[in-house]
Amino acid sequence: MSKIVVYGSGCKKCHKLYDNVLECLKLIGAEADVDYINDMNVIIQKGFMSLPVLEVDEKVVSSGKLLKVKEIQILL
Amino acid sequence: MKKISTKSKAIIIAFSILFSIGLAVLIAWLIAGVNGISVLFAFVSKQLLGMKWLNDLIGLAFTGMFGAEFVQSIWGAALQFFIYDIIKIIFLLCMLIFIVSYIQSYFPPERTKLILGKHKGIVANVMGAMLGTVTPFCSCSSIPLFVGFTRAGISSGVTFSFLISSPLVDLGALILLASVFGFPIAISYVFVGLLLAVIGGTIIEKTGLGKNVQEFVLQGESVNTEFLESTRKDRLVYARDQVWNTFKKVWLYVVVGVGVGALIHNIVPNDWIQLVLGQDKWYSVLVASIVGVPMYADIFGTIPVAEALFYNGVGVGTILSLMMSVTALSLPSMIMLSKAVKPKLLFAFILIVVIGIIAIGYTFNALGFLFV
Repeated sequence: MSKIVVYGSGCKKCHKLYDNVLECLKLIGAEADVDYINDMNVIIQKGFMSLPVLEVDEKVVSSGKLLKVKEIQILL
Repeated sequence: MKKISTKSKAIIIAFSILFSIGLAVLIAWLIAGVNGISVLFAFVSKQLLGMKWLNDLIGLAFTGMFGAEFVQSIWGAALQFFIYDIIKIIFLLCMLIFIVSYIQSYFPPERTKLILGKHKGIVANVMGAMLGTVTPFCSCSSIPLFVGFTRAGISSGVTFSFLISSPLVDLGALILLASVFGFPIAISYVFVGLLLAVIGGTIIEKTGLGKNVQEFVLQGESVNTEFLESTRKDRLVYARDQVWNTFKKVWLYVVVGVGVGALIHNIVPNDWIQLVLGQDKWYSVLVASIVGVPMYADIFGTIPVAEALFYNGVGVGTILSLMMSVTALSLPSMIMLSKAVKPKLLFAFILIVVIGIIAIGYTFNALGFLFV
């Protein structure tokens, strides 16, 4: 089971990315551990500067972009 | 097959663009001398970018449909301005956002941070101001960006140069301004915008005000995350999505802006405008700068208002002050910034920007005869 984390500051774009990830998982019928982190300290410690960031298995796959469901599917 | 790197490809493209521009200027010069060149630039700004032909076309259509009287009435003229300006701005906006986003995709904040970290002194301030114009970031990322810059050892002055120029100046604004005011004013706007960013940042650093940041900003290591290299397709997709997202975000500002512009242009009596913002009123720049601060609009929403004021004979400096104060200082970014810096620095930042904008306004009004 893969571990997916969405980092965001709580803005609209970040929430939408989280929703899209969930929708994508439902669509492809995969199980994953999805987390949404909006703790600024964690984000700063990670050194992220363009939000939202999408991490799959501790690897950054996208930053600063609101990905569509289809685009997420390719990255998973 | 010979492999050409993306970098040299970009250089080739840039050169061929410069070459074609140079060729056009040369032909104009050969045909009509120096006059030819100014005619060429006026044509580009008035017809190509300003789409005056569209305005004429709408005028003709109105005359055909409703008669010449309607076109000459104030409501007819206002409607004509409204339709012309909406079409023009939305068309230019979509084109420009596409081009600008494509360029921006080469400068994620992570890379900008690395570039800025390598420079020191005034050079770094200038770089900060310039990179501010091409690095994409929304106000929701401004805290991590501010902290990331500071922890990477980038001085407060450079960070503020970046923060001042970022909303104030961008390529899109340059082209849109050229479409309304012509190139001399557009280029001057960009130049003084960058100058304000460099000077403002330098003042914040030299006076020691820049040290007034919240403790958590300084406590911690600088972390460099690797940024993902994009392919050309990624960049094109990104640019396309940006056009759509920006359009969704700003269309209302543009419609409201053009509506206000049309009212100013045709319906509000010119005497009223002259009374508050007239060239002969010493306080016009002051009013424009201060009124603009609490207003929050995208630069694209501000331009139609500026356009209408310009046609009504308001001074160039006054208009630039209004545009700069509307775009440079916005409530959302102030709120975000207040979480990372202490009130003293925040107020100093606001004060420096407002004073700079006022100074720019008066300078342009005094030298306005050079441009119009």
